[in-house]
Amino acid sequence: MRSRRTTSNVKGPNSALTEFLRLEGITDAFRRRREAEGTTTQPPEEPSVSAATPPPSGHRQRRQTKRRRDLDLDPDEEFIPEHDDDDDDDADADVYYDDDDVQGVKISGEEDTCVECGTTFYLNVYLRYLQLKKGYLCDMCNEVLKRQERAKKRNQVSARRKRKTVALALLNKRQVLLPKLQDICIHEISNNINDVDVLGNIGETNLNKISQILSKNRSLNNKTIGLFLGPHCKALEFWDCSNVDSDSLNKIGSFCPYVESLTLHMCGQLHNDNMKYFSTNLPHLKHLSLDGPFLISDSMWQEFFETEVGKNLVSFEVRNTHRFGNDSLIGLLENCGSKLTLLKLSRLDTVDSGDVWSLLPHYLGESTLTELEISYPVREELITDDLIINILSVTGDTLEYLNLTGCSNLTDKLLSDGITKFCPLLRVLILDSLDQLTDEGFANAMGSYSTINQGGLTKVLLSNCVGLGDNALYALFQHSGSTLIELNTNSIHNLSKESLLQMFTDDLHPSKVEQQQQQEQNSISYFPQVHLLLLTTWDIGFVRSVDDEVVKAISDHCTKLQILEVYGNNRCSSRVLVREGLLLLGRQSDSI
Amino acid sequence: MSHPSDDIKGVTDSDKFKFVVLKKVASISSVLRNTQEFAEGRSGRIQLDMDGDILECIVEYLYYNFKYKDKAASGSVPEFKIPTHLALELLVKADYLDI
Repeated sequence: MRSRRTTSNVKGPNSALTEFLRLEGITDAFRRRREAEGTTTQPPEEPSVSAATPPPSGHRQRRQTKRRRDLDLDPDEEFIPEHDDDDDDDADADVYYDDDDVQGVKISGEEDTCVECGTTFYLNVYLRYLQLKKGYLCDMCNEVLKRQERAKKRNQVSARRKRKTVALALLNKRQVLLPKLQDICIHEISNNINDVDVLGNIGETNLNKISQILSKNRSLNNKTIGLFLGPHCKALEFWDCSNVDSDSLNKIGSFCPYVESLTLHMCGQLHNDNMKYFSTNLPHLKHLSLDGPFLISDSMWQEFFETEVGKNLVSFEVRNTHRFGNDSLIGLLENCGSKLTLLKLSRLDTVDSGDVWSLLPHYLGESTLTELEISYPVREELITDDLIINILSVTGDTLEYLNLTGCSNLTDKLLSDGITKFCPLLRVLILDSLDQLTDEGFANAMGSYSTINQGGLTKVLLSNCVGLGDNALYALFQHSGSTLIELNTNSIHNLSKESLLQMFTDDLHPSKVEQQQQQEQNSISYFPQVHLLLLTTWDIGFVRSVDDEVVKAISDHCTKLQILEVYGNNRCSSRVLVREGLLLLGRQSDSI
Repeated sequence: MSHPSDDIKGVTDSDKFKFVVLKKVASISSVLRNTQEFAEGRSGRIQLDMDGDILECIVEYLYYNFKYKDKAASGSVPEFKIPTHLALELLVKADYLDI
């Protein structure tokens, strides 16, 4: 086919017309019309058609019968591909060949009647042939049709834009709302941040918002960081300092002497000298949170904790550095261990001595720790049940936040002898990736937890705790159902559809009454309805048993639920109807 | 409009610019809405300490919000453009008016 097209340029007057028609984009229309005429009436000019032209109807018939044959195929029968590519190509080539011959039709300049409105007009090449009505349209009707097509296209574009907006909002976990004027301004300012000299008195919330947006856009740099520094600052948060060099970080020490809380994330350029400067210039510093300070050496950490500032720290968080070693941790514990209210240690690859970790309970004994995180130890055997139980036994009575993500050596013993015995005030429990926890162990521990912790948990993250199942979830709901706000049960694939449905169905529902009777007769599991009054966010992704029915039940029974994540649950389809105000994220059908 | 004072309110500012805004449009701002319980509610005039161009932007936004707030999900809402040189000051005022 391609070769024919390329040769058509040198064929003579007929080919020139074909070329012209092709340029005008009406080749197809002529072909179709000719085909239509070929099957209905034979025009008198037929004899003048070149003898070399094979009759197109033969091909058509062959193709039609083939198509029919395909349609008649038994659905169970395996489809056997036929060698038909060449056949189609031939047919197309013939059809294109037919384009060269335009004698059998009305040509440009002839009179015709519009099939739409019936007016008489003169044909020209710009007019359109309507296959449906087997005739040409006049200029006016053609315009109308064009307008309709344009409107249709516009609708398609706007529909696509709408889908995009919704998808984008879904990604950001919020519903599509009109932006506030403040957000528009902040966006405008962030886009032109390099032209801003002073931000002025725009309020701390807005200042934080701009700082966060700049961090997100990765445009926080030596110049822009200066906009957020001032003597009035008491709390500074910079979430992406990767473009801020050591000198600019020193400005924090010189411009903000009264700063009490300092959060620097991705602070790869934070240098030993900076820490030294902070330790002399930030006398009020009490809360320090650093993520990725890998230039601070082991000895510098020890030195820092020895200083007045280091000794005054009440909350300390450090993540992602291989230079915070065993001695640094000892230095921290010795100097401010007894005063700490917050301690977060994550991914510290050189704290690799079990003995050092076991010092924690000793030093934290007198502290009033409210938040504790020990996550992703370099080797899982470093963090044992006994260690955590010892820590909880001395600090558990004040603890409100516990994060043990990635300490995969921990078992049910931690729950039964630690958390559920010593933590009366716990609100946030994060146990992601603890794969040794078992369904039964978790359920038993939670069952007895209400005697110690009557308040209930507000945030529980249990993603990748693959040993857990229905009983664990039910026990958790029984203990904390009325207080739970955020829940993550991602990848707990043992959860079953029946149990989830039972938990979210009214106890008096006929099907449940029946199930209860069945349970009494034999040992099928039965769960009474749970009431999750405050649950706002739930990630139930990669739990394959979750389908439309379960989502509907959850949507109906969790009245405060705003975000439900169902990534990887391929039985959640677009057909499910969820309550207004609930965002369902991660359905395959939502992709653009 | 039954009575002008019920439906329309003037938002004036220090430069002696005056903007006449529908009451329900002005009520999008909780601050302006709350002034209705006081003397401003009776007189139908609110005195705001803002420059004319800032106030113009704010009034435009109020009408923009009024017009499109129900169409946000349709995706066909045009972007609200603000002059870059006013962005900072506008942010302060928007913060004040809670819009």
